Amino acid sequence: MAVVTAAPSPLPVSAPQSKLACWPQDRAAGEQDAPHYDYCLLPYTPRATTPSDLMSVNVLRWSWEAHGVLAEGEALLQRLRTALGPNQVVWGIKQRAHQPDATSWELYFYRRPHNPPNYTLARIAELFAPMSVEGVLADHWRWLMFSVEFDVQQLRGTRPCTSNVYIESSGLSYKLRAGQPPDLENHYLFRDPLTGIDDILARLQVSVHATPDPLALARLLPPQWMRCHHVCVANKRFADAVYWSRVDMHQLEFFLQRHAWPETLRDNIHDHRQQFQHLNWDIGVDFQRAADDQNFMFIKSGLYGSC
Amino acid sequence: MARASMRRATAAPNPIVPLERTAPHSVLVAFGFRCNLACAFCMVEDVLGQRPGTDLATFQAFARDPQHTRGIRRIVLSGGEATLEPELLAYIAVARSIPSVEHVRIQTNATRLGSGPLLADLIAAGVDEFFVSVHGADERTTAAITQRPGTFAAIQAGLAAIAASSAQLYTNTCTVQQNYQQLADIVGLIAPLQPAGMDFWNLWPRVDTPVVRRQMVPVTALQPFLMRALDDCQTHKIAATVKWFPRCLLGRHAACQNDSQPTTLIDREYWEAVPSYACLWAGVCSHAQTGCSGLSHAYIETFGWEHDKLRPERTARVPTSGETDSATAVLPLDAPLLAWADALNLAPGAELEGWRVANVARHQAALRWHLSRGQAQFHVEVRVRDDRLPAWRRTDHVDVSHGPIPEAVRQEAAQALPTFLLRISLATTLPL
Repeated sequence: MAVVTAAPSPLPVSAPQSKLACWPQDRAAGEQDAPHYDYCLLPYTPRATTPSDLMSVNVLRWSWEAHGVLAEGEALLQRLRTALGPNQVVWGIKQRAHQPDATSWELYFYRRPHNPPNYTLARIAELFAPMSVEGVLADHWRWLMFSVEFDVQQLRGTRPCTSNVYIESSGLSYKLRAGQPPDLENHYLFRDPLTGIDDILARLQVSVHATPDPLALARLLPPQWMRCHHVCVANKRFADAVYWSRVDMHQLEFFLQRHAWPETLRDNIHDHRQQFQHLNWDIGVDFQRAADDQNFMFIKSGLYGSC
Repeated sequence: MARASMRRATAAPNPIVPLERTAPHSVLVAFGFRCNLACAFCMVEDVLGQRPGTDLATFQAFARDPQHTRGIRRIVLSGGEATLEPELLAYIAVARSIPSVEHVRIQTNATRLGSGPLLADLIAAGVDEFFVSVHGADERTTAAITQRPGTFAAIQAGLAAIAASSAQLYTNTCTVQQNYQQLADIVGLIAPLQPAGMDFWNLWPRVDTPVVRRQMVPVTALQPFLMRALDDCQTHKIAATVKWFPRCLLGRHAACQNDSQPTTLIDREYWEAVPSYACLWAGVCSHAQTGCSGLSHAYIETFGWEHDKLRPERTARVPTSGETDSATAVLPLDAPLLAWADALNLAPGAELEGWRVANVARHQAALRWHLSRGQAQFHVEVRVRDDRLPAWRRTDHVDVSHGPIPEAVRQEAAQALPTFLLRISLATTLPL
């Protein structure tokens, strides 16, 4: 099976209709069968394949570029892809509600049977240097996934990053900080939106952050995204969250608009929508009960891809 | 309101090929987007006066091609208000020129049929069915909905004239805030005219505006009035049809629910605003797998999912990720399609590298093959080549795509797909 090229072109190609450049070489010419992965790093069949396809990592780079950290981000990405190989990293862009500049990013690393022996938490953390990653665990933990979250300052290396570890077959994740014990962070439940709807509803109905009015559920589970691969409900420390995996381009654009993502990024994605048509996307929102206890608000939204 | 509608579709290269083949025996031709009423919930309000619809030459070209017209028994002429169209008699003649056509129907508000020669002219030209929009049981309600005082009497006159003619009378009432409590009264009004059928279409919010959303009725408010109207239809032995209302709330009248629509010839742009429907219980309810659309997105955003009010019929077999989208109707196999597929060695039963063709059917503007291997299934879709649309592979004449493939059999599917591609590459046309 063909693979994605490990290193992007050093010179991005300007797209006449876009405000930001793009990197079509992320998919090797002619490699129409290059694998596609969702945010669980599970392969999926692309929706379509045409010679001008772009891979989702372009969106990550646009986001870095918009925040003036493309060089730092690109260097990190190249280190990771050179060391780990292609298609080993899931990326996430996190957008705080109503704060266009409050963007952070998270990179996720899955432990798979085919990983080499040196695929350890410590080694992954080292690849972030000169950034520093706090609180890495020993590998005897049955970890399924490891992630490092960072903002502009952390990507520039001025502050250490926190990390998270996700434990096998548990749906549990822990925040790791230097000198502190692991701190329970999230509990995830993944279900097929068709056959697992009872579980999804049961979990949302006991969320302390959701309200019981009939429209609340329609806000938490918008019909536009229910045609997806999986819905994930997460209970977090200070909020709860819903994620939708493998949504299409139309659903993605609706998501970006509904959660008021930065206009430049939104426009750029829209301008390249035909070249992204082959992709599935993963999206999610965090919601939190409002202070008046009568409503809830969306406090963060996230977009995910792989590279 | 004299127009129906249908599900989302994608563009097709040939404007005279219907974008979806939603029904094997009926074709609706939409033209003449003008109307003498101004219903607030009109499904084509955005195209009235804006688009020509299917022009006569296009309809003639469609009618001349036996590939398009095979099996069609009914042509439905619609607008706007079709009777305002100067070339209506020519459209009727074209409809009657199709050898297999048994019925020509006009969707109309009937306001122009109560007096004068028009009704007789239409019947003489070949119309034998009139599908009349009835908005209310009195002038006040009808005028409020149509925004034209005096409409009620004009519609009644038209209905009476049709009932007295040789043509069959059908009615349709779009259920909205202003009329939903009158549904039984409407049945009482129409029953003496001995209609062949009465339809009740829950508001289909193609034009999704705040005004239209305010017309929507909560399903639990509408349900008792709708049930009473259906009871009365039953009493009067009138065939009733309900559209876009959850089947699970129709109880003893569940069999009346049918969201299907004729195959439609209409401007391509029309499809861009077709509303989407959903139901939280779609994966566990057998109604969803047999054509119940659920609730419109506009409705869900206005009133919620109604998940605690709907009553899913939990007898559904759990679908797997590789199965057909069960909410989308797939037409049954027909003999010409079977023969065509057989010539390509792609008919049901054909083997492809360990996979078997379980079925082939028309699906929207495409042909869809269902391939199975043990319990695993996925589908391959083939449509007329259109380089503007995404496709997995293209041949000289067709575009090929495939649906989700279960992870466990991806490698096996990857072996079957090239063989499928090789065989379908011999096709120069599609029997759509």
